[in-house]
Amino acid sequence: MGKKKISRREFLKGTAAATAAAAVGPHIFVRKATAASNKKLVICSYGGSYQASQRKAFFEPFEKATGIKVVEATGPDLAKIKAQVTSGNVEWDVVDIESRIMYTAITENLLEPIDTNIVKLNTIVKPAIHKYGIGNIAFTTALTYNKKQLKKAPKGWADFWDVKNFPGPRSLQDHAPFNLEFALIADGVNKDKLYPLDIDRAFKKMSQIKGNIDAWWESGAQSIQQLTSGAVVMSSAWNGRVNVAQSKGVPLEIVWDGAAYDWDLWAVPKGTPRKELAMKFIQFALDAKRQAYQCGKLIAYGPSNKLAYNYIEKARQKQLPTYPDNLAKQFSFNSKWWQPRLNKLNEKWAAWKIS
Amino acid sequence: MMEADAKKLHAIEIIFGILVSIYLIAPIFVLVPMSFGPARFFSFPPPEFSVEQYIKFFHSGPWWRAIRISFEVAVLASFFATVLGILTCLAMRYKIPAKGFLNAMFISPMIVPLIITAVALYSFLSKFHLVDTVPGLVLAHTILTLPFVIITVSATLKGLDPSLEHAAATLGASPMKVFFKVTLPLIKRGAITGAVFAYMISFDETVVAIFLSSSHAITLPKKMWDSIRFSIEPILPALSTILILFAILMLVLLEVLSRKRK
Amino acid sequence: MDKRLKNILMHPTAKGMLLLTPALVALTVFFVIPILRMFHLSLFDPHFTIKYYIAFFQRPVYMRVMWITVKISLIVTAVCLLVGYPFAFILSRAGEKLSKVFLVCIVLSMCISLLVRNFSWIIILQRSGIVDSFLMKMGITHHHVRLLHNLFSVVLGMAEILLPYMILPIFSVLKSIDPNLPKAAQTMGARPAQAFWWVTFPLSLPGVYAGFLLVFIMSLGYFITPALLGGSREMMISNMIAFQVQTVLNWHFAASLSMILLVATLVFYTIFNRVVGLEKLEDLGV
Repeated sequence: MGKKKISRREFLKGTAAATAAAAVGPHIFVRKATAASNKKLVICSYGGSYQASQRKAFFEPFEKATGIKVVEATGPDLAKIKAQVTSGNVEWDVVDIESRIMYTAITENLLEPIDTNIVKLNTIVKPAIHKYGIGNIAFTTALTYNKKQLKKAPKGWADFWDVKNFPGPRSLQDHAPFNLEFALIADGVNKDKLYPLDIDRAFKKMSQIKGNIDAWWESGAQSIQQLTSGAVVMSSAWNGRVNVAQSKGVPLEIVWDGAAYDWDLWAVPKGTPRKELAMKFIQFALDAKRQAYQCGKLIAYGPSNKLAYNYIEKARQKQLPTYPDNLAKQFSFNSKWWQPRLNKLNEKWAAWKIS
Repeated sequence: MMEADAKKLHAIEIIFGILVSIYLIAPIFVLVPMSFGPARFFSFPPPEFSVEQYIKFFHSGPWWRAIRISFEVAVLASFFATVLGILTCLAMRYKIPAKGFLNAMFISPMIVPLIITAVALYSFLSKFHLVDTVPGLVLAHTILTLPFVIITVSATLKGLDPSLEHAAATLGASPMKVFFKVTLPLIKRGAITGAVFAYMISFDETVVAIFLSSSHAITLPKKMWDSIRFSIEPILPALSTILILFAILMLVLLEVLSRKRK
Repeated sequence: MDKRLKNILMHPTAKGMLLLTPALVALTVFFVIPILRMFHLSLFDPHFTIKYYIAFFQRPVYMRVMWITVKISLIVTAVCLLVGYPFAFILSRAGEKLSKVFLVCIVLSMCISLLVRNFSWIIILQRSGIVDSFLMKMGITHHHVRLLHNLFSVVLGMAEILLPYMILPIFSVLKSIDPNLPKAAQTMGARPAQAFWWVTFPLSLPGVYAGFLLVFIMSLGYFITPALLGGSREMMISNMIAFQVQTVLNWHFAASLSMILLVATLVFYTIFNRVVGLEKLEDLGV
């Protein structure tokens, strides 16, 4: 009788202990993990060949110079930044974001002000300097086509809409920004007179080409891949990535006419435990020679540090968005106009897509 | 006349059956040969024989890391699901109130659309900092695979003669002893089958992983999803072939388990 | 004190409840509560409001997504029925070796990862992919044909994955029909086709109902296949929920959409239970 009692109680105790351990255990692992985390810096960028260039030019040298491990993440979308900051659980210490994302993040109070004691800005071009983010590269979103897939070379966005003379499936980025501008240019609007955008006119024009869009791209790598494989004959794409593909022998060409010019910026999500380290990294990455290595040798984007141009070959400078001839053909993407309208237009875009 | 008709019908039946079977296992017919082609572009049939894809894959740190994480999560989840499942099935043999309701509740993770479970857990677990962690994934997968273990083990328990356990108890064995020495061996096959099911489901689970798995704890399905969506990596056919091979192995294992007679 | 406690614990119901506790706690904490939170999110903002449900009925895009979801689910279910029933019938009449081969194909397909299967369809259907190249080589088409990222590819992909769930219930019912019944009908003068339609088919209906409902319910909640194989017009409600969570950040609306999907699913499962019985799900599992 006595024996039975003990064994039953022990059985219950054992079960209870097991359940408790199962419920609490994971928590302990997580706490341990977050405690040992000060020897690293988490940087989130756009992946693919762009992030690879950052790895070579900034992340790896930073690790060598400071002994701090750089942990990479991809996909710096506003949703995740907001979720991290509002939950108090910031994972990304440094993010590389496009200008309109930064403006939106500012209105939602998601970023730390750049610490100008650590980050020196005297040789950074003025358009790249903001209170909550510093431009790292100027990039171009341009009409890109596969030379082998088209008999004639397209000269601008009007040709993108010309299915008769330039047949074949197309692709565009899966969101409203940039596409509405391209549509208006194709519809005859002068590139310097785009803003404020005539939204209805833009969507009407977009509807003309919707049936010829095979698949909408969401990542830089995808845009290049679709063009390379021949799944699409024309697309919008980021010029730096196209340049990398070209250097690998892929027959892609970009059209500077009517292309969009914008800034990518380094920013620091609010509340990261490694804020000082993040600022130190940004200072490190704005160095003229390092930017010159990235933009001069690895990926054809325009550096934000004026002095970087001293270290980039003349021939290479002609391939950059910031080269005066190229700049003259592009329009500057107006993220200030876009920021208050982003959500509404994203919703309208989603509705338009399935209609 | 009837004979010829019957023969024709029979032939049509077989052809239709074969066509549908091919439709069902089309991946094997396409991805396996493609995996033995060059790792550059996807053309079928591959222009030349090459094991590049496999070599690239075996040298790929990130992919092996994803496999390791999926493996860890699957083993842990199937362990917890099996333990909880066995306990639940044993419990259901007693007279408990609201058994029908409880039954439905335990089956519900199988019924609720995965997207809802994924989003609900994403929101809930983020409060405990468990998103993008192995423990978070284990918790989610344990819940998702629990119904399958319960179904499998309860089927085995149905055929269990309670008089065996009674006999052991009357002979003086304690409840623990009865469980471990009599009950457990009899449901062992059902339990192992359930554990294997749970493992397979967890390893291949994609929807919840898309939300709960990001950069730190990235599972194989999440990594494949990212790759197929954003940047199709050349090693995908090779990886697919390996996964197909494992599926076949698991199937053989399940078949062996179901054949073993006591 | 000890004796009373012992008596309580020895009571069979108590034993059962104790054994049940771990799983019950786990399920409540990590499943029921998160879903209840979603329910709460759909109605509280933080004050009580039904605007997130009204929005679903008011804005045309969301009704459109619902329509797309139902449309695709119905088409997939119909395809599975049209292909699955004959296959199940053939399977039930096939010789031992052949039926084993067919069954292995069915079960094997269910074991292969969803992503692998969808990926294979991308390879097969893409521009200059297997089918496109074949058609052009054979001279059947002279331009590239658009086979991917549209309704066709989504239905093809979903039907392939869901077909076993149509085949197996029908097969198990067909197998259980006494073969003497149709034979008897034939001895009484019915032709084989008539024997089928008047005897076998009606008896197989429970399996048909089970398969139909199962495939339809599973289709409603589908996420991966429409995302990978569909075009912009093939956005199902689960994709919309993901869009609200990941892109628009509207958790309240994602929650209301989830509740609507959940209610629809539960309604159909209740029908399933009435018509077929939830135990059938268990039979399928094993």
